[in-house]
Amino acid sequence: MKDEKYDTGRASLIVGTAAVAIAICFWILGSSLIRPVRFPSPEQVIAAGWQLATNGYAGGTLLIHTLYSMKLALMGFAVAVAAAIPLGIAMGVSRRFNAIVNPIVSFIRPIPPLAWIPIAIIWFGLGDGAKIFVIWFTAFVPTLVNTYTGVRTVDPTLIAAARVHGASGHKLIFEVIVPGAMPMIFVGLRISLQASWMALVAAELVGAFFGLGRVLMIAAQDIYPGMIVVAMACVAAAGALMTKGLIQFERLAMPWIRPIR
Amino acid sequence: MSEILFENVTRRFQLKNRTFEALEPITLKVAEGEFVAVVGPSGCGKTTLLRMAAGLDFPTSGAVIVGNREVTGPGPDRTIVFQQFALLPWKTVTGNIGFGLKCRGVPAAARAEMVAHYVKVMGLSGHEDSYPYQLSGGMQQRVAIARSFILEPKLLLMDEPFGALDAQTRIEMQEELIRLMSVRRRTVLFVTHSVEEAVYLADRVVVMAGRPGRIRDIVSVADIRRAESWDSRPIEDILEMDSFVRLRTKVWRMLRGAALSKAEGRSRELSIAS
Amino acid sequence: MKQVTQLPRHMRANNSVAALPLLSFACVTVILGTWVLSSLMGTLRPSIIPPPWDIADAIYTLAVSGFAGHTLQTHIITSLGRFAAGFSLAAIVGIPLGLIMGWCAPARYVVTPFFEVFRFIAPLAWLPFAALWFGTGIGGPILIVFSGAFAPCVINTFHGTRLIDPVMIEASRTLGATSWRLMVDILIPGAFPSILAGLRVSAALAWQSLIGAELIAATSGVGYLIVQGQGSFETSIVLAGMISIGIVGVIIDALLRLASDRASRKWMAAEA
Repeated sequence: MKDEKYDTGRASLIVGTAAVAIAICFWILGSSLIRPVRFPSPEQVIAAGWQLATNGYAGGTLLIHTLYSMKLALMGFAVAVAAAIPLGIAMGVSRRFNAIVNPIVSFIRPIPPLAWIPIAIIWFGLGDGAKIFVIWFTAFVPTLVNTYTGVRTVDPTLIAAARVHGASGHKLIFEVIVPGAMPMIFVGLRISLQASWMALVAAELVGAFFGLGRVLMIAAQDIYPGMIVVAMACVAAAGALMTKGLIQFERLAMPWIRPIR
Repeated sequence: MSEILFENVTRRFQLKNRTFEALEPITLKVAEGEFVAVVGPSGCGKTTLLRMAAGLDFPTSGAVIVGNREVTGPGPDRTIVFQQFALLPWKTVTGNIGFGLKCRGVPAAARAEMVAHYVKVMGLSGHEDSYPYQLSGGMQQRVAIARSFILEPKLLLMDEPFGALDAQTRIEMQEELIRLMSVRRRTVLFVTHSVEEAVYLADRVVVMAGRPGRIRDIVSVADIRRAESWDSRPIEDILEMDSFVRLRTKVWRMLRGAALSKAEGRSRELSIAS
Repeated sequence: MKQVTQLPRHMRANNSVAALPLLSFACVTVILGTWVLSSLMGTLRPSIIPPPWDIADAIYTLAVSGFAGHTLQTHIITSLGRFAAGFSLAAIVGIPLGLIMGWCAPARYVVTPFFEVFRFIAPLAWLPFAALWFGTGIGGPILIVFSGAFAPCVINTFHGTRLIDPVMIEASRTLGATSWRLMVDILIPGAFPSILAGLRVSAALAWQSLIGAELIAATSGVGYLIVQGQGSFETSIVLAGMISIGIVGVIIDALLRLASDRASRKWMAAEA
């Protein structure tokens, strides 16, 4: 596109910072014009943030809520992924296994993960069990699908070369197919992680004792817009943190990929 | 015990509403220790022949026999060097070269020794821990060749191995191959587009025609090669020699003849139709 | 032509590959059979896992007499309306934004910081503000749908522009193309496959976010329907609702896939 040559990091930083600064000015201006109830001013947000961090709100401090939410989400995510990856590999490698499992997966796939919340509550009650169930389901499908696709789209020439050199059975699966599928598996993991986080926040909005979702809900009930913004920011920050963590892990796990940028 | 025998081999593909005959009955014998190059237009089936010798594809009728045994699957006694290198991207140079040995169950210490030897032989010293993406095309192909050679295969199959390399690297690799062959004689089936490459490297050049695939003719190079000691001369000299030029032109004419007769046949059909 | 490999002679006789669909069918039958049998024998509690005929009955009742204020169809149409509004808004704003970001670097520098921040906010986290600003009006769910569908539209469009070979642009410039021409004849067609892929992802996320929003802060719609069903412990209604949600989602995706296949066939754009 235009001016590709001048795409320097410094330029983007300058323009970006300027834009953000201008936006903040607008924010301060805007919040003094619009009724404070609907639209919090930066001071309100900072005050709410301070309160949440020190005295606590809705049953706990910022740390307690955030850790609680993250713990639940990551637990559900880990359990789901631990099941989805082997299953996906098995489905990709064995046509027979795929024929058995696929119909069930195709039936479950189209149902949005959040739609499982009501039935989870009926089955598991209002406690953490229902949440973990929903998160498990949410995280399971993308990783499964991507693992399966990754296995099936490994370069056939690589498989031929490995077979020619004597690889077969277990060796072929673990030394060739799994590493070959890893890029796609990680794509699935990323999607699963973001979906898990979204599902957790939603589940907590429905009903919880701790967690960022609960903070959001109570802040909404109390009509405390500053706190709402703080909670939203925490949700975003935690989500970003976990995703960046996953990306780092991805880079460590696959040293053979040409690094982008 | 490494001769190849293609005995009345055909290959038919079942397409949506018709059968496509890729190879007409082909009978070809490659003697032990012989270097046979196969040239032909795109789609003439030369790669299919190679893959059948490797056990990656199977004839619709007829038999492919290597060393007195019919081919039923791929194996380390018949390694292929691919045009796209086909190195495992997640293994280092040493990992890739040692892969076949690992599959064979050779213990790590012995493996490391053999791999180190081939790293030196193929001029890859200093790159032992590099990943394929960090290597140039020529180096990647060296790794692929080392990977094959280390298994001491009875039969070496090469599918346009230097096709993805630039012209200079290509010539270097051709000379390298001659050198490796002079150290140890192997049976080689070498598919290529380049007539020059075929004549420079081979004992016999098989010229194929396409649609359907068949052998048009076979040109023998071995006598001249031995008489004029090509293997001990630099490539620039050989390219200028009269004998080389004559052989090259002969093969070229055969290839073009195949193409011309196909075009002639078509224009004759058209004139009959009108 | 693809290399279609052939089986070796000694394996050609028994071709067991055709048996696969049969295997699938057999498994599905086994599962359904177990379900029916357990229901008949009473080993399954109907309030936890209702028998298939209860679910069918629920669907019928929902369609005819309704639940939670409306019939099934009305709920679905209400949900679809909100979905369509939020999704179209996201596409109308997001696609041009992605194109502009791809076209000129300054726009990219300005938008990116905001985008990176807002992108990570789970769509449902907007619920409190949605309630605050729109009350129980239709604006609330539309905001949620928009926040879910917006990011994929922009990102995929932007990536689509990145995939265009700069050589094409240079070649067109030397042929005298103006910026407008470049945008219409190269940028948009070149990014098209990515844009369509982005729309499919957006639609899926939009539908999901909508359901989530309706679960918590709505008085109609399929999400509202299933949460009401849960409140009254009507498991069959909840399951019937889930099935309809799934079916609608599949139909939306299938329609988009059809449109994208037809369009890309006509356009013959380069593979993304």
